[in-house]
Amino acid sequence: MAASLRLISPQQAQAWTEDDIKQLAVENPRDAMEMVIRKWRQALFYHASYIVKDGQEAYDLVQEVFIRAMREKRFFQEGFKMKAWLYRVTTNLCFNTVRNRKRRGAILDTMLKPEAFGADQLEIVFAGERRNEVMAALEHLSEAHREILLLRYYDDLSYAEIADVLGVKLGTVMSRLSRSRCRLLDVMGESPIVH
Amino acid sequence: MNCTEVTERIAAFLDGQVSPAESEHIAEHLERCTLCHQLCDALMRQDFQPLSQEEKDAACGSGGFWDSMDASLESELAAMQPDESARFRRTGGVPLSMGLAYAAALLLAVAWGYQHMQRADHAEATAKELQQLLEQERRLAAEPEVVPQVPYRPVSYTPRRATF
Repeated sequence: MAASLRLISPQQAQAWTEDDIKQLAVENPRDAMEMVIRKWRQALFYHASYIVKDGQEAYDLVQEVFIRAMREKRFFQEGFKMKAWLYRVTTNLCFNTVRNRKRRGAILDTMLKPEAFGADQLEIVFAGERRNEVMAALEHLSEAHREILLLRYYDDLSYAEIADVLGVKLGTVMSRLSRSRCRLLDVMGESPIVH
Repeated sequence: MNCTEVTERIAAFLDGQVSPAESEHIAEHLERCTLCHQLCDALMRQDFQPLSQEEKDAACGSGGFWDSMDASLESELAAMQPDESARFRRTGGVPLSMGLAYAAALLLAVAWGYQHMQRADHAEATAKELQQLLEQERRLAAEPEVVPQVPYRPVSYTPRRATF
């Protein structure tokens, strides 16, 4: 990567808005794309890790997302929502991977397997008994419910951003999020409503 | 608000994402509905425990974690590098398609101009001809043509014999 941007830390990259990056892209699309990578790769990596439960696979998927971003002609165009696009593509790729994996039958149980992670330090992602319990319960939800809970409570996206990622209205985000949380209570046996 | 409406908005209510008016309605409902109140309590106890930024940084913020990705994306990024010579060519010359379009437009303009000129010549000739005719008419009106006077000559008519 270019020496100038190597000096920019992910924290500094966070200060760049989508408009700043688009302005940079007018003069130098390469630098703009590097900024995009620096700004979002860590967040996308964790988002992918939550879904595919495999560090190496998540790493490869994020890399694939950025390659697709580089080939996306509209990426730096005005009005294009970069963050929403990145999360949407990452989510789709991750769920495709999980579906293919299930189809192949390579992994039958949905419990977490920290030893499957590519890097040892990634075990921290699912460390802690309670965190592990919630993550395991999420596996029993539908993709739509799991996706919206991850986007909101793990990736910390706003309601408006989630609406952009999912391509739905704000009201739909609210109702789907409520239903997802109630369903999670059911799965964890903590719901006050007995069916 | 009824229970169904409250259940649909309960997450947004807990996240502080509903309007103040709607929040008030939900709070009122929760005060009088035990079931919804219990559901709200259970949802408040839900703890997703997302990773903090420090935890994320500790896992992949250092130690060359991204080096492999950087190396893999390098070739793709290189393709995005603006080519200075190409940029110069683009600004200095005219692309073929644009040149052809200009040539076609120029040809059309010349043809249109020639046709227009022909029409103008024809109109001018017609106007000249009409002008001449008008002049002739005016001249005739001013000086009517003199008809030669033939002197009166009485005609004698004598019927021939045996006519009746």
